[in-house]
Amino acid sequence: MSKKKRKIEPPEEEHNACVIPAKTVLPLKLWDFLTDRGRNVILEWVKDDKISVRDRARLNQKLERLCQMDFDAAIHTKLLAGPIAKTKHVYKLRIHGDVMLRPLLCRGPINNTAEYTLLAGAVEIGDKLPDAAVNAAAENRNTVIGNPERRCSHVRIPSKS
Amino acid sequence: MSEFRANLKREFEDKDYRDAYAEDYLNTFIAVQIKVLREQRGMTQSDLAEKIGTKQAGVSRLENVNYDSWKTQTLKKIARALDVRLRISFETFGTLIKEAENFCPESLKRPNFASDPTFLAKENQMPALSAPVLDTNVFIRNIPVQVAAPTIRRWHEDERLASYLTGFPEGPVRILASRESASGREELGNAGAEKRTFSNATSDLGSILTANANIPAKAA
Repeated sequence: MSKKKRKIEPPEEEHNACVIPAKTVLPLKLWDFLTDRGRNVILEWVKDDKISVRDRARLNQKLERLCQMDFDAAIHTKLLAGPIAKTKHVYKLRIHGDVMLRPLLCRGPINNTAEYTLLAGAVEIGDKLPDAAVNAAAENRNTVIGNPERRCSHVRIPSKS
Repeated sequence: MSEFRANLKREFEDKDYRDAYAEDYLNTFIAVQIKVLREQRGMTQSDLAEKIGTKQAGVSRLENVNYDSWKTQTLKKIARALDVRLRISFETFGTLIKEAENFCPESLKRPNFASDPTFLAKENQMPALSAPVLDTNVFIRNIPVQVAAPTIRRWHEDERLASYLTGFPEGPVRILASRESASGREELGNAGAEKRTFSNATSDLGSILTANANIPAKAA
């Protein structure tokens, strides 16, 4: 009895060989700055500024994608902008929504290639960030460098206030 | 279910939330994919701009994740310039969860027509050239998509290979081969393999792949 030759069809996803799955991009880790009382500044910000549901969705979406692409791509596609004038290390995440949300963050600062730390929340008005927020972000970064305990793993922005 | 999926599933219960998330994701997806495809083809923004009849600043705008005013006509022009097709499709929100979870710029790469595996694997149209003929049922994975000289094609009558390798990236390349059998897929590894190193080809994949090519030669 002759055996019928088995023909191999490539799996669909491999046939659509658009990429070589050799390079795996590990998601970057995201941290939130904590006040000296242990409060999460980003959660406080979204609570205080009464951010709409739509903007919360945009904010979460942008933060997720930020962690899935490398820093250069984030800058190139204008997901991130910076460093902000008067600072060397603070960047703003650009979200075009009902209001111009601009969470301020930095690379690292403990491991610059593997993480971002959200330092402060801000809303841009007329293409201008509040000085207080920028200064706070720069100061918070220095605080984390001095004491890495002053941050926690990013807490997802709640969809409702 | 991962925490990410569980969160999105819960959040998507709110229509405003899911609409905003999906629209924002789409903007990001398009911007990043245009950038990835342009770079995959070694084009500058100016090169692409020239091909679609606009200015460099116009392409820069299209590669901005916050831009949402693109026109279908412009996207069609970009598709033509990049030698891929444009697909516009309405999808359920459920599919977005998985898509968002697995988002990765690398995965947005697409081969142009010349490198499209579907058209490379035309039966009986690719005679064996100088390269060794592979064993029956050898399955080659990790197909480079950047096709360039030197062309190395493998074909053997009555054998159906998953794909042809018609070009190799600059630098060392690793080709994984396996053989299907009743007991499952057997990794061929180095056993009986003819070791070859490929170079002098052009591609942007060189940095992705590693080591030498291990190609099993056809049994005598």
